[in-house]
Amino acid sequence: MALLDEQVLIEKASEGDADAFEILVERYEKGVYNLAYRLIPDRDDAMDITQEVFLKAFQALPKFRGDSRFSTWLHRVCVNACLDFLRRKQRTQTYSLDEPINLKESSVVREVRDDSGSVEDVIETKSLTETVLMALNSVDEAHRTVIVLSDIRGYSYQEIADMLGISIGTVKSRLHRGRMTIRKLLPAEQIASPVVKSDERRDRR
Amino acid sequence: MNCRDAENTLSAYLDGQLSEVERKPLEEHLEQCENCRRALEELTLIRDALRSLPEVEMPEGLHGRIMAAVRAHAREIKQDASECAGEAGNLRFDASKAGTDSPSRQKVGFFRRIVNRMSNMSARQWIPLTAAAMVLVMLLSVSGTLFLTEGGFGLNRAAKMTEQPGSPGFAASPETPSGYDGFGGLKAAAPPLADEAEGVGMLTSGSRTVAVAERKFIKRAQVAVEVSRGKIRETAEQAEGIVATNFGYIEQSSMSGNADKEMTSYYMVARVPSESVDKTVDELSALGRVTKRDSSIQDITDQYVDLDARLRNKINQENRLLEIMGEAKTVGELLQVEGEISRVRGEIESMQAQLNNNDKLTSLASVSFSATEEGSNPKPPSPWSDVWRVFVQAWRNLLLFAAQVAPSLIVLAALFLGGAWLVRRRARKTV
Ligand SMILES: [Zn+2]
Repeated sequence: MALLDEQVLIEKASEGDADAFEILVERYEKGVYNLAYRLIPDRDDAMDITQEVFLKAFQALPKFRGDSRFSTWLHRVCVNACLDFLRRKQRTQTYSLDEPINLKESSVVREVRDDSGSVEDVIETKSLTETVLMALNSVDEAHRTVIVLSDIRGYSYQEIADMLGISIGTVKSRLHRGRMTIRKLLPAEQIASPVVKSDERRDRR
Repeated sequence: MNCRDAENTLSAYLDGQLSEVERKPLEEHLEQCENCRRALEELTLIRDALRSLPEVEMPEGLHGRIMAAVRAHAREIKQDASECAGEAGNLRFDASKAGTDSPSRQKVGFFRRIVNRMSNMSARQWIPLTAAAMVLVMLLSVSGTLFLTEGGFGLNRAAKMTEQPGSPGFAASPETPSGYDGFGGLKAAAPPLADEAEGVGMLTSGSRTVAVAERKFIKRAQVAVEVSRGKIRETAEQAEGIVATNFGYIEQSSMSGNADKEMTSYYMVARVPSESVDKTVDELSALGRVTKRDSSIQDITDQYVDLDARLRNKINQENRLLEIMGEAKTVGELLQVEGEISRVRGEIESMQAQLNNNDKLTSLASVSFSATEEGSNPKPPSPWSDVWRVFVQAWRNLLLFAAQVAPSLIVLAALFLGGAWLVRRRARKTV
C-alpha cells in the first residue's frame, strides 16, 4: 500500500495542510479505529483515542522520518495512546496490573456460564470467535497488544518489535503466553472438540 | 525435548517463525506426544478465530470529529505563525512550551496561561466562577431585552417590519410564517428594509461595531388584499402584470372558488429583483383593501461565507489530487486517486449548487400575494378577537424573550460542559 503520492501528502500535511492530511485520515482511520477498539473494547473510548491519535500524528508529522511505513508509524502512535489510556485507567482501579492472571476461574468463563445456565447453552449460542474475543479482552494488555497486532492486524514479529520497542524474543514469548492464556480461559467443551466440529459451529453463525 | 520446551515454541512454529534447527526436534516430539499435538491444534483454532474477526465499521461522526480537531489545530498553527511572522520555522512545535522571548509571543503566552490555569482548576474553584459567569450573563440578557423592546437596534440580524392596517384580529393571526424564518432570529423594530439590503451591513457584537462588506440578504414580502365580489380573476391578471412589469416571474399560483365555480381567492408566489421589491409591494397593495403587509430580511452572510470557504477547501483538495494523479505510476494508484477525485467532485458540485441557489435567493426576492373576495370569509367582530389578540401578543413577547435568552443558555451550557470536561481531564491527568 506504499503509494507514491503518500510522500507528497505527508509533506504537505507536515506543513500544516489539513486538506492533505484529511486524505491520509480517510485512508487509515478505519484501521486505527479497529486497532484501538480491539485494544480497548469500548466504543466511546476507542473513538476518543482514534481522534487523539490523528491529532497527535498531525502535530508530530514533521518528526516522521519515513524510516517506517506511515501506517506502521500511525499504528505505533495508536498503540502508545491505548497503553497510556489503559495505564491511566488501571491506576484508578483497585487491583494491580502485576497481579497474575486468574486462569481457570476467569471472569470470562463465569460470565458465559452466568448468562446461559448450562455449558450446552454456551456452545449453542456463542461461536468460537465470540468466546475467543471475550477471552482476549481479559488477557492483560502487554500480551493482548501483541496478539491484536499479530493475529488481528497481521503485523510481523519484526514490525511488532519495532512498534513496541521490545525484542523479537519478547514478542514471541508474549504472543505465545497470551494465546495460551486464551486457551485456558475457553470452556473446555468448545476448544477441545475436533477441528471439523468447531468449523461447523462457525459456519452456523 | 521435553513437553515444556516443546510447548513454549508452539506459537512460533504455528506462525512459521522457527528455524530449521529448532523445528526438527519439535516435530519429532509432536509425533510422540499427544498432549502437545492437542495444544498445537487448539492454538491454531484460536489464532484462526482471531484472524477471522471482521473489521468493525467506523462509528458515524468520528471522521468529522477527527477533522474538526485537526483543523482547529491547523488554524492555531497558522495564527501562531502569522502572529510571530519574524521567527517562523520551528516555532510551530515549541509554541506550546510557552516562550516569552518576544512581545508578540507574550500575547500568545498570555492566553495559553489562562487556558492552562483554567484546566488546572479544581471542581471547587469552578463553582464560584461559573456562578459569577451565570449572574453576568443573566444581567446582560435582561438589559439586552429591555434595550431591544424599547426599539433599540442591537444584535438583530433579521430585521422585520410589519404593518397591520386592516382588522387587528386578522393581522395578528398566528400564521405569520415569513417573519420566523431566520434561525430563531430576533425580531425588532428596524429601519425600512430598502435602505439596508445588499449594502454594507453592520454587525454589532459587544461594544465593538464591525462593518462587514457585502453582506448577503434574503428579502421576503407578503401582501394580502380584499377585493370586491367577482373581481378575483381581474385582480389575478393585474397582479401577474405587476410582477412582469417589475421584471419578475411567477413561481407558483393558484385560484380557488366556491361550489358555484365562482373564484373567491387567488394566491401566488413571485420572484422579483431585490431592488424592485418595494415598488412591487406598493403596486400589489393598491389592488384592494390591504389586510396584511409584511416584509422581512434574513441575513445569510455567515452561511454564505462558511459554504464558500468549504468549497474553496474542496477545490484545493481536488487540484492536489489531480497533481497526484499525474504522478501515478501504476493502474492501482491511478484508480485509487480517481476514486478520491470523483468523491471530492461530487461534494464540490453539491456545494456549488447550494451557493448558486443562495445567489438566486439574494438577487431575487420572494413576494407572496393573496387576494380574497370581500365577505367570502366573513369575520364578524367578536369579543373573542380581543382576547385572542392579547393572547397572541403575549405569546409573541414570550417568543421574543426566549430568543433573547437562548444564546445566554447556550453560553451557560457551554461553560458547564467546558468546566466539567476540564475537571475530568484534570482528574485523568493527575490520577
Ligand atoms: Zn509434549
